[in-house]
Amino acid sequence: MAAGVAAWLPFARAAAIGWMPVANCPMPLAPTEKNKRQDELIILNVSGRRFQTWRTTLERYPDTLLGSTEKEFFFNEDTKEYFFDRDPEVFRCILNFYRTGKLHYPRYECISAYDEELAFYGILPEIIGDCCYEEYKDRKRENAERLMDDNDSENNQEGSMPSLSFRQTMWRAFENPHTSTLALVFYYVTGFFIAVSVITNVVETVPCGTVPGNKELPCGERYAVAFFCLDTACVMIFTVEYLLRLFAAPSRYRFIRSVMSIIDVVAIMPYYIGLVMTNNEDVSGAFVTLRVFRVFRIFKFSRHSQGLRILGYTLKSCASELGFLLFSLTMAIIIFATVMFYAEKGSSASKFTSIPASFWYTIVTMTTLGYGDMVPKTIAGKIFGSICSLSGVLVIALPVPVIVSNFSRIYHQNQRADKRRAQKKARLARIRVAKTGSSNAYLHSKRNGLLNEALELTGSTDDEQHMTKGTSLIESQHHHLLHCLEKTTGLSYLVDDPLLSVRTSTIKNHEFIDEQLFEQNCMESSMQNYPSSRSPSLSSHHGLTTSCCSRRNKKTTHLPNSSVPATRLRSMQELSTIHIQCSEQPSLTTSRSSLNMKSDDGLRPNCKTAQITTAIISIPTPPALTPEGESRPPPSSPSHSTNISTTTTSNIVKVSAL
Amino acid sequence: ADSSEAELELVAARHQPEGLEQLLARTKFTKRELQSLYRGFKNECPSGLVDEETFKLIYSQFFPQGDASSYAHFLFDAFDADRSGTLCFQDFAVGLSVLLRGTVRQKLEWAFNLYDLNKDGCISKEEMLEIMKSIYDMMGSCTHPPPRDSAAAEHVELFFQKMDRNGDGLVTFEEFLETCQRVRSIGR
Repeated sequence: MAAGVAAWLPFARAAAIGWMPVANCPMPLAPTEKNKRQDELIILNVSGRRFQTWRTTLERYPDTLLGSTEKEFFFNEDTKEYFFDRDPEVFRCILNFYRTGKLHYPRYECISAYDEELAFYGILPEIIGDCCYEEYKDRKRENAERLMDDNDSENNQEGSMPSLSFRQTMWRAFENPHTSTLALVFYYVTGFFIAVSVITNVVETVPCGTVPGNKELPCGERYAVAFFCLDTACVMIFTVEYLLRLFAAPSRYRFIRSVMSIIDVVAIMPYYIGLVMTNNEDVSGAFVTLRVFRVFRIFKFSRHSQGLRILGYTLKSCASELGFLLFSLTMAIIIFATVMFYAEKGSSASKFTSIPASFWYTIVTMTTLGYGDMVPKTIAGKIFGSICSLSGVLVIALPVPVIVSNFSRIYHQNQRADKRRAQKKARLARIRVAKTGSSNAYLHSKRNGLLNEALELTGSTDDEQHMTKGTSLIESQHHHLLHCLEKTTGLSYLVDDPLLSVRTSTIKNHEFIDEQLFEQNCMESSMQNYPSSRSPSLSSHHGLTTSCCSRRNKKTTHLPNSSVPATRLRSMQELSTIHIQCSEQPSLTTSRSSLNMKSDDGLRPNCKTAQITTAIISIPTPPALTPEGESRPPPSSPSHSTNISTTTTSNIVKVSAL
Repeated sequence: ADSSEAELELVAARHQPEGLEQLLARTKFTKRELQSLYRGFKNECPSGLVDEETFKLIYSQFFPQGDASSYAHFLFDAFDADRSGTLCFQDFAVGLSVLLRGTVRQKLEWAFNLYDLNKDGCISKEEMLEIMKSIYDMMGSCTHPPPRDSAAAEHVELFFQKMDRNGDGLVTFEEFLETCQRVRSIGR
């Protein structure tokens, strides 16, 4: 029941007292009103703009955010109001919905922003009032189409398609010549040959000089062989093209039925028919007529020209208007031809010998051509002739604007699609730049972090301050998160860099400083080459990790290893809680080389496989302990439970497994 | 004539109720209640007047299965004390005051007024039949047991048997009052 009507309910219930005297059975008890509060004003502060309304107004719709207890989450104790950090303009419409029971959609509002607000306040868009519903649906549909369009072209352009079969690639190449160079070449070649074929057909009939025998010959007969060769070449190309398309088509049946394929067939058929037929006299007449169909080759250009396609599509979509035009013209022609025939019947030597003969006159007059080969001679004929020409203009002028406007609409739609595609390129480029920027920032900060450790170890603290430039808290937390991910997977954000593999192979046995330099170099090279690919190349990373592990292995040879098995056992036990794998902080191992030996051992088998199961994410600890702030060794270092390990244990936050 | 008609329309476009104090005097509502009532009323009818068509429309929404238009018409007449053809807020408030806060006698008086279609002081069988039919129409046809054509007439007979003391085919207010007060406790 609408909110408006609900306001009348108490009235209707009161009026029901009138039934009581006539009722035969006793009336049921009325429901008791629990918590009947005195109505109060509540203040809704939406981004600084204060709205006030009665509490009962909001409670009309208890399944929305404002009508339920969900709004208590937004209650601000200090100011005793409900604060929403949302758009106040849209909130106006939402509040009006509570007041009037009708939800309106403001036309100036962006459809997706509006949808989001509705979703936030828990209101279904279906209850938008009739006055605004159509507009809302239209805008929503446009938006959805645009998104779908974007998705489609994104998928098409990504190039990272799953391996298509040869047939599919070929079909794609045919449909969209910009997908590969070969397709483009094919496109232009066929275009060229279509042009050649059409020009040949035209030039064939031009008279070209006389042959001794003083007969004007058309070029086609004079240079018959040359033309025949040209024709053969063109037809061969067209045949090959047609067969290739037929092979590549996803649905052969549908392809055969399509207009373009019919045009293709009609274009090449006359040639083959001509080959098959002999110089039989009667048949060659028909054969000559068949050559007319060669002109259909010109329609093959429609694959190359979008305008032609649009025109064809327009004509198809205006079929009804065209039909009406034809029908009305036919009616008028018949009427006027009849009239003219009977008007001119009396005149001698009249050209209007029959009604069908008058059709020609009528058509020529109505389309305002006026060849003048047939003219009325009687006065009546002249009068009706003038009426005919006047009405012709009208009849033709009526449906034409409809066709024109259809064409214009379709053409502009196409323009819009092209514009969107062009803009999309710019948009994607922007997005890529943004992503590059953020990842560069991350790598930059990582480098800074490493440098920090280096400097820390060497004891120069003043440089440290210099290195940590102003990265905001959000940035640093984001970078921390990315770093955690790196450590989790044992990969790191690098680029597919050929230099890298070289480096990893040369690195066998290096000190901390060397490795840190190595990291730096990696970062630099990655930052230079980043835009080319985002996905880290596993090979290089595996190389990196193996290098780390190999380095660590080297270190572990120095171990006084009493409790290596114990560590392993502990680490196994720890699996039930959470474990770090593989990823390693060179800084940690080297800065606490003695401490972490055992855990290295424990980690070693995992590293080799470079697998992850789970990750520990620890709270960012004081920089002295954990510059990068994660991947603690399992808190199982037995003998060296020094202060550091205990503190590290206390800092670990166990997170549920992946 | 045109301009004066336009002026008239402008005037009638908004009806202002009498002041809060007068209404307080005429009804048994408190000030807050009157305020709340008026706000609801004005929200639904920004012009301040309810005509019969709108009233029927609103009332029918409460009884979607049946046809409430005839009963709504009688109800409208009952509320429209000054026979103006439209309900203004005074009618609304006064009527509600009687129904919700009135004494038993006042309520019965109101009900009697509802049944007495021609307001002549007594209820005839024809009037009662009309009212009864309209009530049964409101119920609609999807009921159990299914409606019978004679249900209304039978109900009227029952009513008259109970109410009509002197059997003259008319029920006066005294008879009505007496029977109702005796038979059951109205005015819960």
